[in-house]
Amino acid sequence: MTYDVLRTRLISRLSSLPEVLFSFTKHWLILTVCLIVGATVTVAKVSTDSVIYEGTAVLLLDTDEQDNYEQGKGRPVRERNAKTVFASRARMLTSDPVLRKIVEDLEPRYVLLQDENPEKEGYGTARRFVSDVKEKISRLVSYLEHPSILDRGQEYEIQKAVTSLRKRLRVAADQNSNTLALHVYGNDRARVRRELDYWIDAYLNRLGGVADQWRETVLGSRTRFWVRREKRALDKLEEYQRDNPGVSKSAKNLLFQEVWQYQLRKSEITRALSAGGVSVPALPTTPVVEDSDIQWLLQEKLRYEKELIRVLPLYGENSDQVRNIKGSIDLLDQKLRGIDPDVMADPVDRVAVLKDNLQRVGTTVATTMKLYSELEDKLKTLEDLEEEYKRAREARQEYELWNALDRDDSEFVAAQVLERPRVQWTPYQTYPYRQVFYASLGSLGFGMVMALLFEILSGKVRFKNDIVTEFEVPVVGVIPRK
Amino acid sequence: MADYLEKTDAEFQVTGGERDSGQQTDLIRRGEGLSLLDCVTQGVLQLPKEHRAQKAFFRFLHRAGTDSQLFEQVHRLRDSVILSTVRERKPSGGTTIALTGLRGGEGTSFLSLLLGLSLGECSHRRVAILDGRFDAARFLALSDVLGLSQNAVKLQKGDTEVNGYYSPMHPNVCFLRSASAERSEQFFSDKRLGVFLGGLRQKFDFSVVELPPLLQDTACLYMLPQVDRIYLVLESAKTRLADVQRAIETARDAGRKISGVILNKQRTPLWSKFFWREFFY
Repeated sequence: MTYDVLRTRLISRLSSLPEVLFSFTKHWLILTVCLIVGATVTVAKVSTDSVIYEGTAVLLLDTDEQDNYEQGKGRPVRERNAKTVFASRARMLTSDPVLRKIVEDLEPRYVLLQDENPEKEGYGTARRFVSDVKEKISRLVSYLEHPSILDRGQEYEIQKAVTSLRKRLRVAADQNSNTLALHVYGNDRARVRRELDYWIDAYLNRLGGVADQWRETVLGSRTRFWVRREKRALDKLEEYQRDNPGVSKSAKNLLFQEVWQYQLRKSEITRALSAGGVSVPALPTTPVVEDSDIQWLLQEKLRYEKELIRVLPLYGENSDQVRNIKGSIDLLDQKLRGIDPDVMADPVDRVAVLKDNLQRVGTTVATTMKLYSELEDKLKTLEDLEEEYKRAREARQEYELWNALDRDDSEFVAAQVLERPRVQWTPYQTYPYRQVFYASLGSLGFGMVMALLFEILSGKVRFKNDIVTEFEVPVVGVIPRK
Repeated sequence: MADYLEKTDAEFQVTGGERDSGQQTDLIRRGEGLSLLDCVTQGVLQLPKEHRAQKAFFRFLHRAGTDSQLFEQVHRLRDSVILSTVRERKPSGGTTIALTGLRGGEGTSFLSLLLGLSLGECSHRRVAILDGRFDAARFLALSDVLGLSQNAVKLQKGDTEVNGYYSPMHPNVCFLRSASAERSEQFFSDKRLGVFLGGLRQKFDFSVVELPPLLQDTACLYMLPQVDRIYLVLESAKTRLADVQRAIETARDAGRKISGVILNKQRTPLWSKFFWREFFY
């Protein structure tokens, strides 16, 4: 049977209601057998089910505690999906570590006792036989779930108990109220109660452990973030200082003084020129050592020379510091030379020299002013970088301080018990008639599926529709069977 | 022939439902009121002892008479054959209709006989029925039951001769039988089969030929290109669809297209009596 033929048959034999009804009618025996078998097996099951008690407890989850943990410190964090967090917390209830902890605390044999039927001793022959069959099936299922049946060690018992426990647990999560209703079923009330208590303890422990792990991870990543940020700022600052070694406040002050001196010089020359350069003896003809101005100029020159001696080996000949100092020394020399007696002797020459000096001083003032403004910009950038580095360092130090303090006093409360564990006095209603009804319906549905399957796979001519759809040959007559 | 008729009268009876046997036999002899199909299906057939082997076949025929649905379907089959013939508007000559099964057991003999007899109800149309499997025992039983006698129809097929037998009260229905003891393969593999079929078309309006199973006997292949219409007889819930596919491909290889399919022994669920009946018929 090719795929196309199968597809054609599938479409033609399932798309028509009479075809489907015909299938059920033709295979009525299959349907009946399935129905009877399904109903019988379920009746046998429910008649040998032991009495079940239900234990319940309600937990209230705090799904925002992680966000609060971060946002309470004013740090921006990613928005977490509360639904996802809640779902993961609910899943954690039936996770292996939690169940394993219960089993280890309670002893596996204690947990496995809940699987046994204490009423079996009072059964008659038929029900006892059914119970035996159920136990055999249970053992077979257990073997299929744990093929290492030969391993009779503690681990095997724990695994069996965990599987048993998982079958008897149920979690009803309600995200609207952030509550988790825990249900435990078993044939012994006291054991059910204990299992419920241990379950809650194991869950809360697990939550705490997970929260600690999470906190370590988050804090570690945050610390690394601040350290990286500080290092980045420091690297930028050092790189800038390396590229611009002459940028400093002292250099700026020096340059400012230089500008001021040039301006002073310029105003003096201008005043001398306005006086005609003859009538007004703007400058003394001979240096007067006793003159306080001359003394100050000499002292300044001496100071600059000392500075030059100190700075030259550090920054080199071509550095800005050295050039500035040299410029200042030259300026002082010029000032001292401005009182040259030869020039003072001839008023005409003096005017020419003054004009020449005025031009040179004007150019020097413009150049120095430009240098000053550039230095000011660079100094601003340097100050910004220093400020950035400072802030990053402070932030890192503050975070480390807060982290150290928080480790001591942070108490994680992720869940709390809203309703204490309690076990019903009356047995849990398992609705045996309903079980039989549903099982019968299910087996009938299975029988229907089987009937349809048989009909689809049938390779016989059943009625005229088969001929028409598959071969497109007209059916001229249909003779009924007597 | 008179001796034969007297003998048959003495050994079995054909009686009607409401009429007594004497009246019935008399009516059949005179050809009044009942067609040959009515005689076969509605009468009480008593089979001579020497034809006991054909008991099952005649039991089918007898039961068919009590099944109104079967009759209705046979009539519909007849009508569709007549309609197709009318549509074709052949200028001259009759129509040759061949019925064949796939592997045997589909009820081809039964259906070809019923179809032939049903066509014979149109008393002004001449109908020939040829058993292509040449079952001599069945022909003898049939001739005994229906009181057939040889008439003047003789068809030549090479060296052999095919004779016609009829009931004197229903002369338009003729049962053909080869004079020599030929088998299917010998008969249909004759090169002068076309001449025989030509004669058949000239003498009869409808010729119903029952062929051997298509997938089991090669004799059928000789006949396929020469008949006017060929119908496949399938048995519901038994014939495999793969066999039908093979049969259609075989017919196509022989240069013929299957004219139609007759679905025999159709089983229907009980609910089809009340609704969705047309889905099955």
